[in-house]
Amino acid sequence: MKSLMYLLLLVGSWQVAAADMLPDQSLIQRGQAIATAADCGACHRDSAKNGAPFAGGYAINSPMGPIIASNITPSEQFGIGGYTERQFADALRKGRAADGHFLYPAMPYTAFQGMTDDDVHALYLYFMYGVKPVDRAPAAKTHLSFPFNIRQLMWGWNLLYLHHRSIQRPEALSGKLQRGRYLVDVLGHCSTCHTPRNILMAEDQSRYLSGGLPGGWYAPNITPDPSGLADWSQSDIVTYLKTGHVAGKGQAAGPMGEAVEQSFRYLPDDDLHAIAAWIRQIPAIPGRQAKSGIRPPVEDINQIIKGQGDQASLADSSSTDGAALYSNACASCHGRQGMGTADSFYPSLTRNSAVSAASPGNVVMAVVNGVHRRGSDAEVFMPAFASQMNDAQIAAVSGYIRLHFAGIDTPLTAADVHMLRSGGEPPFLLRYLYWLIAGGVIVLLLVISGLLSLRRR
Amino acid sequence: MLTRRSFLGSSATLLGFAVLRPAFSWTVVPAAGSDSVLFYQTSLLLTGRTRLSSLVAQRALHCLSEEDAQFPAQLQQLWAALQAGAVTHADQLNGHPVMQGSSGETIKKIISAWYLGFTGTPISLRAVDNTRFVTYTDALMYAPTLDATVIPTYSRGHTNYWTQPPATIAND
Repeated sequence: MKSLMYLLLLVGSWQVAAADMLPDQSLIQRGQAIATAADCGACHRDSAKNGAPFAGGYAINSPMGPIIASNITPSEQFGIGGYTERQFADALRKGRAADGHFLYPAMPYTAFQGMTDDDVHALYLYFMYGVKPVDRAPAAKTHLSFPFNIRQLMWGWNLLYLHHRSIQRPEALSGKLQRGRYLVDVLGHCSTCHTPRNILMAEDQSRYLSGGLPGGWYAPNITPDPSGLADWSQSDIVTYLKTGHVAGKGQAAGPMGEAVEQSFRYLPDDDLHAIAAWIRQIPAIPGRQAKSGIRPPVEDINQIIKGQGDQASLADSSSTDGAALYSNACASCHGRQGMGTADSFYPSLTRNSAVSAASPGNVVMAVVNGVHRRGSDAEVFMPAFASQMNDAQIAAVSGYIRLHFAGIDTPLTAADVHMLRSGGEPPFLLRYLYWLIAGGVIVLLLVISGLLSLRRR
Repeated sequence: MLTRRSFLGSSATLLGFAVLRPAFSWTVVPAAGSDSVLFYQTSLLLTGRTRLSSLVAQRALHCLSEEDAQFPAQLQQLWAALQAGAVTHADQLNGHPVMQGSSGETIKKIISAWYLGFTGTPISLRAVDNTRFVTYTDALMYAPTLDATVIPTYSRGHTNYWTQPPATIAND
């Protein structure tokens, strides 16, 4: 029956033939709006550009290894076509797939657990009837390092962290703030990136939205603190979410650029205002701020550009002089003095939260990966320099930008750039993994020997 | 008192400097009364400015001297001619006899280095000619319109901005 329905869907004549078997069209549309607000498409996309929506295959870089997004189209064999609504809800809110295996929290089920039944229902109908099935599995498979490859471990983790948020539910809120909280905490799962994580890699709710480090990028503090969005107005936040940029303040790249492109730019203005209203009234939490104020000597471009040179010097691309690299690669768009263009399309680097952030991560990652973002107003493109500059050169030019345009002296090395490119600073759990395992084994041995000696008595 | 040792020492230094000067002339801080100072003074006069980049001046002098070994001598002659002609401002140069002959040629060389940012004469479709790079962004030809335009190759606006006529075109 279902396959017949798909066939009819594909042919496009379903409206006549299957009108009585299909759920309400408006409910499917609502489900689509929820899928957009929840940004499902950003992760569950095809690894190829412009691939089929929700086909999966895209790799989410985590410090433990890449987590491959699954196919969530209604394909019976490869997707979630066989899921009942109950199983769908469990995957969304409890992190359990239909066959019982545990999902990794790269899928933000800790946030989605707050979803209302009505929304889950609409979302289910959208995925079952509004999405085209793709009958293939992603080529890559999630394979994390030991012991994170043991999915059963998530049982214990879920026990600790899955229902954490429901405890501190705010009581009386206006309708707008209610909606804002629901969008920020549940559908938008903002805290997945913007909240720092504790040693077990769960969100540290005591530092809610005060800045996190997803995959080499730095998701800044978005609480109303001076290190966060204190000087951002309500309309600044709305404009940023819609277009991906606010002149003189910041612009979205990396995962945030994806969120703007796939999700926020489609949200109705009311929802964006609700989000802004909610994050403007959450408690301000001081975050890390970069120490700025160094006044570097003014660079004379005539010292840097000394002419065309000869054939050998033209072919030589090994310079690690940050000033020369900046002039060659960045200045034509961002200006010689980092002032950007008059229309702010190419943003200023001198008044830019990405440049002046506590972490050099976003500058480095933007140079490495470039920026490709569609906002509601324009499509923005910055080339990626990953294949043109080596790690030392990226370190040099990033350091130059931070020093000259934000007065921040962060010594950056090729090793730092390499670390950022490959997923960011390893978390505590990963750094001390073998010590932790060794400690656990010792404790276990002590317990066993204790028990044995008790038995001998 | 001039001892034999200090005399030999300073002579050796001077000799070494004279030998190496062509290579270093644009990196060395000019001594008073040197060609560099003379070139800078002449450039101020010819361009009608009160300030110029001393680095660009050094590079221009270096390139002009590389192109023509006689240039420092021509510069001296030009300076003498300007003094003799009582030229104190660029505005007086129009139609002035100093613009004729070899002093005129020297003036054109100097002004062209400042405004175009290179010395020599480019030959199109030829990989090698006698042009030498002085400056790109500090070439004076860009200065008059810098309030309204950017130096070529630097972006002026959003992607493909040139496909749209400027909004002010009706009033321009």
